[in-house]
Amino acid sequence: MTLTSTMAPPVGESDRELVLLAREGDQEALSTLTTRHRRSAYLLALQLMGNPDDALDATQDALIRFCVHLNRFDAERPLKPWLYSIVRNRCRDLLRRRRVRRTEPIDSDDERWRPEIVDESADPHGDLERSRLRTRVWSALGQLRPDHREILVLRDYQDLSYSQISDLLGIPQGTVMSRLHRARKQLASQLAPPSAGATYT
Amino acid sequence: MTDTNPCQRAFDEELLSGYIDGELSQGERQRIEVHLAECASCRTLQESMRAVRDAARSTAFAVPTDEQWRETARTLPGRWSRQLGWLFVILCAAAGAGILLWEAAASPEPWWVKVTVFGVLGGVGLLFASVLMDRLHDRRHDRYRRVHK
Repeated sequence: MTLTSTMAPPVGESDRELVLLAREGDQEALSTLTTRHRRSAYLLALQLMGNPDDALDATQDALIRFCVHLNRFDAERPLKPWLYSIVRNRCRDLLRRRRVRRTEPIDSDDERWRPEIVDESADPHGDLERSRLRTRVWSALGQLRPDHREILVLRDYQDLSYSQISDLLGIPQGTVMSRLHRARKQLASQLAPPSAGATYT
Repeated sequence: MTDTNPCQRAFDEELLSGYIDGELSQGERQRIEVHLAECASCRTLQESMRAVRDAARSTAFAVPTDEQWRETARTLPGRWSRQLGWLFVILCAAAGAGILLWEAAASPEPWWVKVTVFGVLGGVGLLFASVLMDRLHDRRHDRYRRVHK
């Protein structure tokens, strides 16, 4: 594995050009398109599932669906939200299947969540306290309800706007804000030391 | 949810998140800023949420190497063929059961043989249908159901 942050700038031809070429059967364009976006798709899957193995499987499945359904995609629209919706739905399917198999309640803690995948040494300035906070936030994220975890991932890890989240989840922007606020309060409450008395939930 | 923020009536508290994310109108933003200047409780909540957001945004994760991507791609045909295999098994079993029922109904076998055949196949069919209905119910009532493909 190599270390990276969430966002990466696209290079070369535009997504629109690649989509149009891929639809005409250009395999190289399709390969470039998937290679360009697989990283961000993987990071979203990882943040939703909390486990590199599951995230890799979900991403591969999502990329296949992405290629299969490329003809349905409107090339004039941005590609990333569409890919994200496929990844999100694939992750949701896998999580739901796992819960059905294990007969777990939908709000249970996820035992496959792995806090160690956050790299504490990634801070070049060696700010140990901030690094620890990052790891604690990530660990606490795994304890949240799936819908709270999802909205925090989309806003705080993926840096999507309320409008983009609203389109992706099919909910009004006001609901995005209220759900996000509840999720943040729950997370802040979990991170607060017991003696601080800062219980928000 | 039990809210211990004593200022919850001063303004709609969820606007704090909108404020942190820069998603408010100018008027709302000014209202929040005026309130934050005089309310330590809301200021503390806002700062803790902002710290969480900043920590999340600066988190680094490991991503797969090119070799790991290739390795995962190599396992895909096996996974897909397994799913296709199950689909064929179910379809063939359903077709075989249908033929067997048809034959049993038309055959001159004693009544207890027919009852046994109908009982076993009918039971298996009902079990399969119940699992299928559970899955469909789960899919219909899933709160993350919307698919944008």
